[in-house]
Amino acid sequence: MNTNKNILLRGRGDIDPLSIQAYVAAGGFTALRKVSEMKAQEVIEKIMASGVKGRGGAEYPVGKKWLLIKQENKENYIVCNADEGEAGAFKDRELLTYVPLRVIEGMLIAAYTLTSKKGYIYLRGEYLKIYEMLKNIIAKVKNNGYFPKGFEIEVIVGAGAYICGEETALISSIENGIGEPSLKPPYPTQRGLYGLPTLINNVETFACIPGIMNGEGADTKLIALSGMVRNRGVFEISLDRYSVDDMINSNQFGKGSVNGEAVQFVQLGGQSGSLMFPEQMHIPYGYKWMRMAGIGIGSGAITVYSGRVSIVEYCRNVIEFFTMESCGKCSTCRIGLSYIAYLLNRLCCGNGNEGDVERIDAVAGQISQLAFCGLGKGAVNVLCSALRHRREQFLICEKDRSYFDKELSGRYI
Amino acid sequence: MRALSRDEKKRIIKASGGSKEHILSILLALQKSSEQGLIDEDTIRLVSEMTGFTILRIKEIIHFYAMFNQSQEACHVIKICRSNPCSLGREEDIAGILFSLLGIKVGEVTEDGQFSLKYMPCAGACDIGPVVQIGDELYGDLTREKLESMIAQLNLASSKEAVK
Repeated sequence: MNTNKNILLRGRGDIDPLSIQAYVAAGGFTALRKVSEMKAQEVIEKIMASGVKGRGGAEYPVGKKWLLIKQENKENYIVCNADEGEAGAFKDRELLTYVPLRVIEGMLIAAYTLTSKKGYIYLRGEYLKIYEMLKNIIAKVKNNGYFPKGFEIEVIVGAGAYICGEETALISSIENGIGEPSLKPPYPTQRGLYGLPTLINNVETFACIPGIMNGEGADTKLIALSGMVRNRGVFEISLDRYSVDDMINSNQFGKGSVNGEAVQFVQLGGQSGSLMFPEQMHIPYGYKWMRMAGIGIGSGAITVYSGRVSIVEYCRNVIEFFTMESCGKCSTCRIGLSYIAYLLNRLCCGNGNEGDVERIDAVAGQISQLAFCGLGKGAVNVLCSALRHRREQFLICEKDRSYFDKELSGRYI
Repeated sequence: MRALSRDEKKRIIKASGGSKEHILSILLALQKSSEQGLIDEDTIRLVSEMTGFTILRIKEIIHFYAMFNQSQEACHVIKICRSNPCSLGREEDIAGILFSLLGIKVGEVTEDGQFSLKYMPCAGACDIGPVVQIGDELYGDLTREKLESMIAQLNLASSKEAVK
């Protein structure tokens, strides 16, 4: 029995995602109508009261962000960040594929409230199939008169750069083609796209807004479950109600691990999130509880790995990914990450030297303090949590050179 | 595919938005419809004229993003999702199977120029991993059997093309 609330994904699979009539019949655009009769201050207060936090991973209070834009009292832009580049995260894809109108409604509410000039959806290049569909549906909504006067929404596609999910890099990618982060402050809420205040929210954040305006609150979250679970996919869960253990094993969600293998660890929030180990998996999945345990929910991705995976090899893969995706602007991230990747590779190939684990730990600490933007800081999360909880496995690799099956490690070139 | 004329390219640029903001979708569309799967000097010059970006900037952009090719492509480029949920989240070692089926490693092209292997970052399809991408299509829940029949089909399609 599914006792879960279904707010964000309501209509998924039941209604035609491209039909405005079907969306309206299911209660769509009622929030937008309400908002057009409300004062901006009231809308923002309502969002603040809901306590909703940014769903892209940074967990910044949404109402506060909107208020900051409003207070600037200038022409402004809104941007929907759909550059979902985290491996393990595919919830935004689900929203844009099945209920794109809810996301658009959220954006339009923002446009009315903040009297924005123009809206953008920055879609990752890998979701090219959604691109045409989105353009069509936006034109339809506009033709039906739901847009504020003079407002338009433009869809921009990326071309495969993880860094463009970082808000300042995203702005620079729209402005001049290349996504390079810039120093904050000034934050995009002060000086964003083309120098004007810019509201950048995640796809899921915008999808939360209609529900909040309809008085349904914002206590559900999308999770993207993948890896060694029988039933993978995107689910909407009530926060603070389930533990990660429940999500893996419950028949509503994961339906247990593949072949019944014991779970070794779980990565939350995609590659830049921290690892969670079986001894922590009873903690309720919610912002407060997880924060107390030093873990972030991040984007909502939950990727499950069984005992076959070596944690050292896993960390190596993650760091190699970020080494490739580093934009190269700051040396901390560019050189630091490739150095750690080199050391981890050495450990994985049975060529570790004494002190390698210490070295990795030290450099990871430096990167997390000194990296220019969130990419570098996020990249080492995996190492920090792995070293905190499973340091012995790294030390075994360092000492015992034959620990790794070389055949297996040689899989990646 | 044959080479595009200047007017055809212009039409593609306009259809993809035409302005500076849409530089990425313009370049992606041009790459897709090009003969060799990459953007040549002439095309870069045209894009520069029409968007106002300098030639150097456009070259920079092509180097910056993973989805732009730097060299000529094989007929079928098989992109293996290398992210952890795909490569370690399930039992199948897709890369290993493809190496043995095609006799090439990542970055190489088969002798007949039909297939090449590449790694790609997360395809955003972790719910059906392991996945590979060929052209615009994603293939998920892969097993050895599926890969074998997929490659056989692609080979068949190419030989039909050759007969035409």
